[in-house]
Amino acid sequence: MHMADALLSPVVGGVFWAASAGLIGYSAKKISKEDDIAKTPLMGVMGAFIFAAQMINFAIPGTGSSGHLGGGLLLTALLGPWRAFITLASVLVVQCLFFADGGLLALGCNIFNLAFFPAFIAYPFIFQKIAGKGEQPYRLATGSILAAVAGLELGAFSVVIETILSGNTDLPFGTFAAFMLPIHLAIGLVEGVVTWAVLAFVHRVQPSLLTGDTTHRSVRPILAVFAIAALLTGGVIAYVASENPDGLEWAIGKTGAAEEPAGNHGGIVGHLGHLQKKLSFLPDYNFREGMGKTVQTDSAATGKLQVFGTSAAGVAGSIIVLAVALGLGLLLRRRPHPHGSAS
Amino acid sequence: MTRTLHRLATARIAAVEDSLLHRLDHRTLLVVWGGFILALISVDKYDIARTFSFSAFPLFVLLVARIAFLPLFKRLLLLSPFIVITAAANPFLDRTVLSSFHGFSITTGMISAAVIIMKAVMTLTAMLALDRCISIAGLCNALHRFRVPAVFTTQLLLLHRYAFLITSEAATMIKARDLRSCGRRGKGPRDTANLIGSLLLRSAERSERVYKAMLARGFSGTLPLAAEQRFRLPDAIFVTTTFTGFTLLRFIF
Repeated sequence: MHMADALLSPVVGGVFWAASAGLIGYSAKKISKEDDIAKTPLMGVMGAFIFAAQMINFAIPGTGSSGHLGGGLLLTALLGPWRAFITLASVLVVQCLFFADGGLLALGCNIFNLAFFPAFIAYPFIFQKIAGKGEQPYRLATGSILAAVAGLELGAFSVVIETILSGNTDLPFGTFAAFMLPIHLAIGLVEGVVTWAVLAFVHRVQPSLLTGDTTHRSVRPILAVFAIAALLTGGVIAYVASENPDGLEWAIGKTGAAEEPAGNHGGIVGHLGHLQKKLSFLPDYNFREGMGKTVQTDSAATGKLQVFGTSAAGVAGSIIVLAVALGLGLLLRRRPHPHGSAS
Repeated sequence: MTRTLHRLATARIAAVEDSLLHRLDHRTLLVVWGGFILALISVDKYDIARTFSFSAFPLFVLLVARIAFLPLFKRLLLLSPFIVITAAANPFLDRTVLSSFHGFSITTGMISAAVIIMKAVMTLTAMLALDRCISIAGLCNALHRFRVPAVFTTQLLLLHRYAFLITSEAATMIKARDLRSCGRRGKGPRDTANLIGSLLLRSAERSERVYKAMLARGFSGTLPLAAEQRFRLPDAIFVTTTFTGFTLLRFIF
């Protein structure tokens, strides 16, 4: 369920980056206040455990396919929401930067989708309410399965919202949601069953590990507000951004002026504009006047010529840029310094 | 899993390779890569030529950092099915004909799908190149200087340190299970949950031992970071050049 940069718009990606960064900062502050350094190595080792556990595949009965544990809910049950959020975020950062799983801009969305929902929604509002301390097996099973399903479904729904708001796909909201949610319902059920089985095993063998954490309760409303604000802000800004390609042009349009004002062509602006026209051989993504000039007969022909000109100019420009990059790359490509050589 | 272990091992070394990029401050790398991704994904969904022009940056870094193309190409083939499915829907949903060529119509949906795939390939290539240029110690140092809380950088260092050990342990457990199971026997959710539970208990015990060892060495809540990298003239030149290039590609050409 890792989001990729290619499906995001800068506004949506930026909003979720801000939301996730804020949550990391707030969680770090809460952990620092607890001043319990004994849990610091536990967080590191548990993050590593989740990393490793995700590689242990299991056969899904009746399907012929296999799956693996996500681990968000399990980690929250072991460490509590603040520490689990930081731990899950660190796993996602390592996956992004060292394994190229999920994009750099999409990292904010991925942290929000895969860490926020299990740590701050599914665990306190579903798992704890149903499973309690996990002493009754059927309550532990129900709590684990429902919380895992809710966490994954919310994450998947968030992916749908982020993708639709970004506007790169033409999939309608309903179709996309109908595609994503049932798949993640099935994944959530399997995740819930495995989480329950692991928790039951730990409860049987070493129950002291499942002490949990209750310090999150005082800030639940703040986090709920944070989540709603992030979603609303993302929605509103992305809507405005997609409806109005450029905020400045939109604002100017509202004043009754032309989309691209003629402006004052004197002074430094005029000189720079003139210089740009001189230097730019593909102005407005088309050939300069005089380059490949053709006879234009009617508006339809003009349109086709413009399309051709734009495409040809674009391809030409791209090839030139690539050639420059290739040349620079080869020029700057150095032989590595031999290790251990005397300097 | 072998690749994961190898990558975890190499990320510990400050510079796996030696090139112009490997010698830059990690803050420079993070800022430039962020700028590239922002500039690329802000390109209009139908602007195929401008999107293509951005491939100059991944090409440049692959050459400068001396990154092999073949393993990269293999990794690109594993492009997220989620992206492929999302892009593949566009030609069916947006059928406005843009141009015809010998009876074959090029639609706006095809263009936007191609742009999504191109952006995905370019961002993935850039991230794979970045992953070859950074080390965990340098990354944590850069994050610390970007004022990321110490709790988080300490967590990253510990996670990386123990991911290698615990992944090795998981690999041993998987091998033991595979040697004892004929076909799919013993690989169901219940048995696997017991296996994961055992790994969890071993991890918890290891964390106890680690904590005691850390206390014995004067641990007070945060881990010391590696020596600070400095923002020098090559960093300034790299940032200025790349950002000028991104601005030209995005707004002028």
